Amino acid sequence: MKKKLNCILLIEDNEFTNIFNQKLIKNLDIAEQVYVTESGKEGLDFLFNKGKFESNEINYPTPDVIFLDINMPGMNGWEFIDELKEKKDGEPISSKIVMLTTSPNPDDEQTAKLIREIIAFKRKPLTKIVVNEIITEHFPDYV
Amino acid sequence: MKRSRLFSWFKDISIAKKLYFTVGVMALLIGVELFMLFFSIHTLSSVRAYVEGEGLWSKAQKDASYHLLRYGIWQDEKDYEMFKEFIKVPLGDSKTRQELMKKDPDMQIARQGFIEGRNHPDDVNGMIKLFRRFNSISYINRAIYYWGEAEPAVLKLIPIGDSLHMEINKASPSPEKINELLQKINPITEKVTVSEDNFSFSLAEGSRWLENIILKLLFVIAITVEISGLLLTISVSRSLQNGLSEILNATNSFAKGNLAARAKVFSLDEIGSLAYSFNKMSAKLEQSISELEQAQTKFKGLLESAPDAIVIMDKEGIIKLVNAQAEKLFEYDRNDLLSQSINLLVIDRSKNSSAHQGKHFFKLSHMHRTILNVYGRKKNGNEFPVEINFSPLETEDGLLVSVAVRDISDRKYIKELERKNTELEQFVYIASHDLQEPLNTITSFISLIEEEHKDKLDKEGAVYIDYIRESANRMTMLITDILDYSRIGRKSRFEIMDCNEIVEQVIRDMNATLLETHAKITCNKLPLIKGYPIEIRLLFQNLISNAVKFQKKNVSPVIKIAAFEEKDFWHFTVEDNGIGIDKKHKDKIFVIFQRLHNLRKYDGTGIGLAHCKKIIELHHGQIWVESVEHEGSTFHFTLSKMEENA
Repeated sequence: MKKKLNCILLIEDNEFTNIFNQKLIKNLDIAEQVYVTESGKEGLDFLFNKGKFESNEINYPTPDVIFLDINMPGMNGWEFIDELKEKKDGEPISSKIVMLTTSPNPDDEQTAKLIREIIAFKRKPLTKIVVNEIITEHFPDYV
Repeated sequence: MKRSRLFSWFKDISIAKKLYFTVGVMALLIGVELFMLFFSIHTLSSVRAYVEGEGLWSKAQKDASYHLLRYGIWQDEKDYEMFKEFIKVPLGDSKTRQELMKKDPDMQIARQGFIEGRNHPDDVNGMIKLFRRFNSISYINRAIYYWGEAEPAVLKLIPIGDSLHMEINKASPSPEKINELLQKINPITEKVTVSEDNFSFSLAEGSRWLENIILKLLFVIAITVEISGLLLTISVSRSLQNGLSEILNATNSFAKGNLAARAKVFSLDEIGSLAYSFNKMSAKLEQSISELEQAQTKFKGLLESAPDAIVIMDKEGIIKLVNAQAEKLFEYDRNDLLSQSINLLVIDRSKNSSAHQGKHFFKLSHMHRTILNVYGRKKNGNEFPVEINFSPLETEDGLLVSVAVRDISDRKYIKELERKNTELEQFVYIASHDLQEPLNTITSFISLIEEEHKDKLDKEGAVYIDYIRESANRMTMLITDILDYSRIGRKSRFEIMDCNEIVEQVIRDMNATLLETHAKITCNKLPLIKGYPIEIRLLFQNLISNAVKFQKKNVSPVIKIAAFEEKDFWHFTVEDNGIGIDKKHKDKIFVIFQRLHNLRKYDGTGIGLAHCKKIIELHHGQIWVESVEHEGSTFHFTLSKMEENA
């Protein structure tokens, strides 16, 4: 039996979408842990154990996949990636990113292709089929 | 010919030379006249000398005869001596005559003879010349003849004298003999007297003739001198006058504005070269003036052909010149604008006082600046936004300023429109995004309910859930369509494409539907066109799928695609055998979300033809439909052959 992914991180400002996506992933039973952050800033805090994720007791794992919403208030998906790269300062980003968008804009799709970490550009709502496709394609050794 | 050459030569020499020539000819003629006078006086003097000589001769002959008679009567030797003395005169003259009659006369002897004939030595040369020069003249010839005739008669006295001397000196002179000798003398004298008279007459006649001739000659020469002098003077002065008046006329004519006026060059003298110089000068002037005029015409042409309204003003802002575009823009007649202040037409809203705008504009012109917030004012008082450009203009009337005025109401309007459009696109994008999110939530949770709580729902509940899902899906489709519609033509590149390929590709993509409906599509050879490929593809896709979709029940779609070449555009047709369109809906079908049929019958959002219309408009073409209800429709559209922006 293949093993599950260790961790999936959701970055999405819409509460309902987060609830639905979390539920969907849990139902699929493909990851040990699914974390939810509600903004780009919170996502970064999660990755670097800062803010509300600063803790001596829990060691937050590095996510295998990040489902990233583009359109968010404050810091959008692209700004999140830029900020992340800046913080990593040349170090490779070990998480793979799946961009999620409500209204697919061809410009965004082009931008996504230029970023190595982005493995997929998907339209919301997320479905089981889409998630399964991503796993089969990018994580053949899992689940 | 020769005369004319001489004439033309005279014409062309300088005026000074002409004057010298005229005076020279007159001096020469006067010289000739003087010579003639001298010659005639000389000749007449010689004639006089001959008359004198004849007197002497005749006196000597008479005295000789008298002394011979006395000698015969008184037998005084003194008389004989006197006779011999007197007879020397005719002898001397005879000697000269005889010598001069010879072919080669000895002048010494001839002169000697005349001197012996008691002629004055000063007259001798003249007498000899007259004899030799005029002996062919009849009068002189005749006189000489009479002289010659008298001479032997006189010379007969000598033998008579000798015989008388011998007789008297004899021892016994015979009175009869002496008487007989003396008898011979008188007839001689009588005879000689006749000859003398004839000689005198001839000579007098000759001298009269000569006088006559000389007088006539002198007269002729005098007349010649006068006439030729007059003629030369007239000719010279006339040629001067002609040349000068020609130049004068040409100058006057030129001054009056006839730039083509030239002086005729009559000669190569100073007047001629003056005329030539004048011509050269006027030709230069004419050229410069015509160049100036050309430049002016060019300037006027440029002014008139400029796309902008152009007003030319002076330092004070007084309008000097306007072009037709300015007349049109401000709706003034140009005569109403000239000498008016620029304030009449242009107002700078950024300046409070309008009093010195002309000077203000003039100052700005040095900065080559385009100033903003300027308004133009039409004759009727209407104001409109303008863009205004100044450029200084150096002219002979001083520094002027060319003011190019461009009405930018349209541009403002277009900018406003572009801004609104962008805003609208942004709005559509954001609105559709924000609309979609709650929809996504609805569909997501509907699917969760279906998945996790299906068993808790009764049959009716399941149907309601189904309705919600369907409506949400439909809403999603509508929103997506709006987004797509707003994106037509954005970020797309204009390029050349093959319509045949595009249609083939569309057919390939629709293969499943076409097989299912047993549709038959025929396509004539289509052209290469210039356009936005994604949009053109969408156009064909929409038209073909519509043709397949709106089909009568149990009838297989038959679709014909064709293109016809027109002068500036391609005319495409997509023909079907579908349900057709009621005439009254011909225009409605191209409006976004306009549907003619119930969703249950024919699904879709009603955006397909709106897309088509927007795509065609993007390509500056037209789209329309011809249709017979229940028989089929033909969609027509045109695509320009021109480049983008056509």
